[in-house]
Amino acid sequence: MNPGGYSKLSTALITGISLSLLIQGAAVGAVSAVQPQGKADAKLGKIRSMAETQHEIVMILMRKKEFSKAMAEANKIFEMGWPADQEPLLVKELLGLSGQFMRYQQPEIALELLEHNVKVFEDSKSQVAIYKEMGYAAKEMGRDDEALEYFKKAHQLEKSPPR
Amino acid sequence: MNCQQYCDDLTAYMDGELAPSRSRELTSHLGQCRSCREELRALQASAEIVEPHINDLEPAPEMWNNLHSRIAVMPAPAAFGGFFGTWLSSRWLKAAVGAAAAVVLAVGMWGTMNYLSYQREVRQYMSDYIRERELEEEALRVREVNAPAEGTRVGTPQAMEPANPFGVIRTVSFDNPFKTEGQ
Repeated sequence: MNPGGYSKLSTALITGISLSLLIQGAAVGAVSAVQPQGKADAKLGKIRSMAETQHEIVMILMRKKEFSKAMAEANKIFEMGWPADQEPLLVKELLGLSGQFMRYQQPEIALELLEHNVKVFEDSKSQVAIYKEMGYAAKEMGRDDEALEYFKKAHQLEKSPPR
Repeated sequence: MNCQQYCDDLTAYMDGELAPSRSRELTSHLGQCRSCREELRALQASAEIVEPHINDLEPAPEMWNNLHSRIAVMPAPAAFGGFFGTWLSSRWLKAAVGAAAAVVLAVGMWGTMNYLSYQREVRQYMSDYIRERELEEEALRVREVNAPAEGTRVGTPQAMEPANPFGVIRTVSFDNPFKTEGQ
């Protein structure tokens, strides 16, 4: 083989190796980028599954009219280390549970549940919804002044949400 | 008229302050009523004791002199001087006080109106939400009556349980595999 042929061969080899390294690197990069997302999904899936079970426990306790226990179990749902983007789901759950306590004529428990968990929520829209429901629960108990205070708070948050 | 009412007028009668007709009426009553006559006599006796001493209660002229001399040696109150003194004692002061009062009144009225309007707004906000929630509950009841949840009694809270938002619990009904024949 002449020297020119060796040169061409080595150039092709180097190019091939570089290309394969580049492709490999890109693949590793892509995998490492995907892995944390996958982990987060797995974690969220686990939390949701636990919350799903917990929700059913709460419903059973309510049916058994063990309302204090039901509230304690309900609180656990909101203490599971949820990612911030799950807030709408949690608001739905909190309002659903408080509504169900009220259907069982337990507005005090509903109010306590809402009061205990409002601090978990960072979005002012969520807070507005919760304060309104707190006002509704207070009104159900005939505590009109207290209800008005909760509605004032909700109104204030809605008009000028904190930055 | 009774004796008590006549007696109430006795002092005015003695001082000649009653109307002539009333005075005549009282004189006529005194002619007939012994107890009222005695009351009048007692009042006259008291007046005789007090009247000669009334002049003695006048302050002595020396006392006035003494008071005047004490006031004269007292330091005069500090007066406002310069620009502020002139300004404060002028009509500008009156105008400024009037303007300030008007501003305070306007601010007070504005604050009150604002407060009342805010209260009205919040009450409306509250009643809107309560109405909305009541309608929501009513709709839930209607839906539940029309399509009752399996295994629940209509109208019970259990029948209106909120759906589990975290997923679907899969309930698969199947026959009991341990069931013996004939049971």
